[in-house]
Amino acid sequence: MSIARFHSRRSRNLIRATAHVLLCSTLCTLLLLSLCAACGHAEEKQKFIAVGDHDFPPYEFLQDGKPTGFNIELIRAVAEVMGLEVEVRSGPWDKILNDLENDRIDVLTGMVYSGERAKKFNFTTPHTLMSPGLFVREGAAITSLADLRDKEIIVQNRDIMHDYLLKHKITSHIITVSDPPQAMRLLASGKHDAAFLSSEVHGYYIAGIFHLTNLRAIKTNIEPQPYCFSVTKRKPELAAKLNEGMSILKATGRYREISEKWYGVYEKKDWWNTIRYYVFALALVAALFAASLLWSWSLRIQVKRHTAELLLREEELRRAHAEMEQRVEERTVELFNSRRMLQSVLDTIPQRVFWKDRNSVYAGSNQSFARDRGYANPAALVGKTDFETATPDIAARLRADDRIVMETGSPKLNYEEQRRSPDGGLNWLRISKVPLRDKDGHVVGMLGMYEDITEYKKMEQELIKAQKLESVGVLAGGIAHDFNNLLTAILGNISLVKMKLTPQAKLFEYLTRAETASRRAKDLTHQLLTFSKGGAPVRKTLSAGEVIQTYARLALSGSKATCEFIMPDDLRPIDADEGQLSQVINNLVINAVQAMPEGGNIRIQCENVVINQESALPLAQGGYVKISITDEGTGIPEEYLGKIFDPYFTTKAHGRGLGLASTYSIIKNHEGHITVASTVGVGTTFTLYIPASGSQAKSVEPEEAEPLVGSGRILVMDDETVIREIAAAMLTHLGYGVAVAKDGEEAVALYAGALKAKEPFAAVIMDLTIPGGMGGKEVIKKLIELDPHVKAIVSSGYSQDPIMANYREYGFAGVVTKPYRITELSEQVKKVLQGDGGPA
Amino acid sequence: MDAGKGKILIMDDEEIVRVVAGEILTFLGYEVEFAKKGEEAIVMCENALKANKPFQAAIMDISIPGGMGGKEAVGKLMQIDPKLKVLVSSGHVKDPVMLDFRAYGFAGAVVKPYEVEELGAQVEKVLQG
Repeated sequence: MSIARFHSRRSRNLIRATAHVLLCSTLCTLLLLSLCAACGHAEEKQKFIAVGDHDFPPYEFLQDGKPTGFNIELIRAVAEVMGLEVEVRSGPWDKILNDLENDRIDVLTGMVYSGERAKKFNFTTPHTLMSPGLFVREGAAITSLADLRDKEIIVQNRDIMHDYLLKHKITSHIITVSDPPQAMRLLASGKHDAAFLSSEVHGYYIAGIFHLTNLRAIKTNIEPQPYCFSVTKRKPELAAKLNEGMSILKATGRYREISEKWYGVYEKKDWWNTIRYYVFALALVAALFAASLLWSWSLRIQVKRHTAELLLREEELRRAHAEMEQRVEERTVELFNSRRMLQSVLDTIPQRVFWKDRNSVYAGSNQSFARDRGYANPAALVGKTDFETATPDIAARLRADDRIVMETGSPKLNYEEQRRSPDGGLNWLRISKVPLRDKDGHVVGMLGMYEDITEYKKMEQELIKAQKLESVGVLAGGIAHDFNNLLTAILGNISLVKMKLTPQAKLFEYLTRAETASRRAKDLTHQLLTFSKGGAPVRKTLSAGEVIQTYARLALSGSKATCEFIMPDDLRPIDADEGQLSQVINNLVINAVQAMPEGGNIRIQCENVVINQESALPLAQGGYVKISITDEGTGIPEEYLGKIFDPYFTTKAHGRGLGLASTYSIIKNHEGHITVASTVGVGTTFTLYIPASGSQAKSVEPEEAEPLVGSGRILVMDDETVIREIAAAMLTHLGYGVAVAKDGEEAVALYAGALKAKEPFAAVIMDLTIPGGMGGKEVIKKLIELDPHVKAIVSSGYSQDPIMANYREYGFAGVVTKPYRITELSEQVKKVLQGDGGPA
Repeated sequence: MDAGKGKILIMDDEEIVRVVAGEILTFLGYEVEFAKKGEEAIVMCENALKANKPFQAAIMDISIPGGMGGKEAVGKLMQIDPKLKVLVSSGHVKDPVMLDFRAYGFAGAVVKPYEVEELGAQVEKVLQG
């Protein structure tokens, strides 16, 4: 332990030891002294006279003539314990007080201490604290001593309260009585305002004894008075003894016994008075506590309610949250799906799509764009700029374009540009760039899109070429026509002159040269005319093999070149114009011959092919005859290959440049296609595709039979004047009578008229289709109505029309194709008139 | 070459063509008359018929710019005079009409520019056929 503590402990022990020693010595001394005192007065027990009031319960009073009460019992106990003898008497206060004053007695067992009285008597320590009692009647509007100012107050004569009133000058209306009961009874009877007693306890006792229920005590602030034994000054040591005795009694607990015996009941009341404040305080505390409990309880209720509310709200929130989560999930799925859809669209369309941010940095693209730039996928492109993906000059141009779009905010749509592709080729692109805006309308980037229009451009070129070709053709045709007429004059006249000369004449020779030159000019114009008026070929179903072999051999006649033919037996026929086809073969074979001045072999191979989508040829799907003509000649340089079919393009010194152009034109008009492949020094191959025919080839020459004559009247219906006239002329020539009608209505009318006039028509020839009017189909129905035995022939330029194939079902007896051949016409009419055919 | 006999109507809008044709036919012994277009030819044909001096043949240019050509006139002519033999004439060898002249009502076809022998042979054939 610390030194300080140690020291203090030691000093405490020291003090204790000293105290013990002192006490012991004092006690010993005292004991000795008392023994001496006792020895000194051993034989004589001290005796004193103690007197109490005869009527001051519970302190001192008479019971069965004997004095009793707290004070009495106490003095007796004190005397006993002090070894003194006491004579106890009692009497009225006035008298006994007087007795003490005159030393006739020794002790008054109960007297309230006062400074004044202390001058006359010796007081022991108080054996009781006496609270004064201020009594008023129930219902009196008095709550304190102050309220009794100038009121009538009853007091016991010459007691301490009497003194108090006098001293404090509370009131001048003092009513004295001889004893407290009287005071109380007087008050209870309704007299005066208050009774002021020296002991409240006494007052309660009286009220109880006499059943004075209408009285109540008022609290005063007056200090409880010390209630003591008062001792005559003649016996000074007596007071000390009495004190000693009281101490002992207190120490042994006897005091308390006696006290409880006499004050028990009243002490309760007193006790109440003392603890009243505490009780009130407690009550207040209790009330506060209760209030706080109530408060807490109400709070708890509130809290519960709030908690319930909160729980409810929490539940709601949770539900709302769950709902939102669900919705978010749905939206996310939707978003995912629409994203995926967008991605699918972007990666499916042939266009390249990309988008950049405000700084021209790539933010994304579709797959094809990324690949174009040389990246595996769009993700690899993100974050890069054009300076990393393209050459600096191109990147600069792109950046400039982006800037224009993003800064002006206006799109650049569908502008065409040439770009070099990664493999070195030059491509045409159609580009669109638009600015991208956020929801406030500010430009945050741009979206770009382009497509490769190289093919389109090529087709555009082709179209231009074709148009050029056509216009040239038209021009050429016009010129050729005029030229031809001029040539007619030239050649004709030359020819005439030659007639008049003998072949030997020199002039004849000159003229012959002129004639030769003119003939060559004639060939030229004819070729030109064919080229320009090639238009719609007059097609017949031909055997491709036959035609090709015939004309190829023809073209080869007189040349050093040889020719071999490779053709399958089942080579399909083609629908073609023999004349035009022959021109094509002629041209190509002659070109081949000219490419091999030293001679060589020309290989012509034919085969049946089927063209579909994968064939990558500008041809409709279907069956074709493929013809390839290959020579072993000088070949065509690559830069000319694209131009050889252009009109007037020729590398030959003596060529016209129209051969291949007209060949191209003819093939195109047959819905075919021609291509060329060549290697310089090795040879050239021309490949033709011509649609295969669905019908049988007719290689048989049409018979030139004599037309059959007949008689009777024939009605001819056709909207074309020329046809009507030709038909009429032919029929007339054949011996028939002819009437013409230009449409169905007229025909029906004429026929009906003839019937009525009893000069019916022997037969009717009618056109199948009349633009804007009744065609053959309807007319025949009407005619059958008029005349069930009508003999009708249907005519058409369309051999494919189903009516032509099934004419009988429609009511016709015969069919002719336009343009009319007189022989066919005469045959059909004859047949019909003879009745070999009639309406089914 | 036989001396031709007969009256031939020559129709062409080009004068030099008419003249040359006329010369050739005259040389060959035919009598010739000229028309510039179809309408004229028809009138002349009618008149000749009426005058009882019909034409035996006619050579007509296939088409006349701004007028009736041979193609349109032949029918009418044949109606007027069924015995008339009409030849079609053109520079365009591959014209469908030229290739299939009979279907169009013609008896023959001659190709421009004319040469004496060829023209003579065609006309003769037609007149005899």
